[in-house]
Amino acid sequence: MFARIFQILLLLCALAMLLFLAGFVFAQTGMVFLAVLLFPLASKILLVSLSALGLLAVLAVLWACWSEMRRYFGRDARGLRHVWSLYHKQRAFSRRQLSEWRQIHYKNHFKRQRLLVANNRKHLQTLFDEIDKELSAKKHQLPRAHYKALHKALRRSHQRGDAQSLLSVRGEIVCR
Amino acid sequence: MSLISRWLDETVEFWHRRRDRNLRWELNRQNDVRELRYAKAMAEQALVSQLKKQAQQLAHELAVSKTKNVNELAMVKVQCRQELKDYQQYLQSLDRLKDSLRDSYAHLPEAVAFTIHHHAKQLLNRMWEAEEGPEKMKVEMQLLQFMAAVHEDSRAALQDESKDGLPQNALAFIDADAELKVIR
Repeated sequence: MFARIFQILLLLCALAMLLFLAGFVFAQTGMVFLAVLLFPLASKILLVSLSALGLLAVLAVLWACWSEMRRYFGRDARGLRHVWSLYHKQRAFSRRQLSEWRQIHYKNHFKRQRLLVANNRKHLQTLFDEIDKELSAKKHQLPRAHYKALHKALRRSHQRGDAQSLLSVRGEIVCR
Repeated sequence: MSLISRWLDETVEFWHRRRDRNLRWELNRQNDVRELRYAKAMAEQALVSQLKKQAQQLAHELAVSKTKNVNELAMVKVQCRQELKDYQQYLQSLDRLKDSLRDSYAHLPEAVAFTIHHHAKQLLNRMWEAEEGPEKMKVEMQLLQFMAAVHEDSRAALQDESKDGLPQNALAFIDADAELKVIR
């Protein structure tokens, strides 16, 4: 339908051009009255056909929009979108499930680490107290500078929570 | 004038011939067009019904996996809570082990008690972090053997069988483990 109208309008444009050409030829050959008759007619035909072409273009755009909208809201397209949305929901759900599992395991690991750290701290404190006592007992047997150095090393090791270092300090105290 | 009229007649005739040809073509193809439209409508209907079925299946799967996930998450939470409780109990039992060792050996240096306790804790952590399977079983056995060795030392000390006042079995176990680590 649109194609037919488009063809007719193109033909009208061509006719208008032919009339312009004929007018020009008449004007050149001295038949001015015919040229005066043909020029306004050709210009009106051209104006009408171009306006109609513009209108046709607008109608074609509107028609394309309408058909696209019909296609978008069609039963098959809606069904397809629904399936896709469910598929994406399923994927998102699996991802969320995985992250929830990871979160639970991470929290569990964190709580276990906290228990371990508290236990380590308790036993390190006991060890520190005992070594400190041993060092205090040997205070008068050791040179003052060495005692101070050992005490400092002991405190530093305790602050760092380094059990091996505490034990090596104790080794030094015992060896003296 | 007659030339223009003849030319117009020919044009109109050409137009009519063209229309007739188009009409004949449409008549010939009418059945095909009808069949094509019918096939298109049927295909669309089949697609829609297939999509509906697929959507129902997906929705069902989603609902099932949601229910399953809720149950599994609740189970995992309970399991994790239980694991934490077990770990805490293990730590407490290791603390008690250290206390019993100190009670058995009156002059046991704190450093030795700490070393034994620390080794037991290391074994416990290794056991906890090992993957399920033979590796975990192996570390678990090591821990049990180590705890048994410590208990044996405590019992021996209480019966006054120990000679030099140190838990020999436990220390030998730690030495053997350290040597094994060096070899690896």
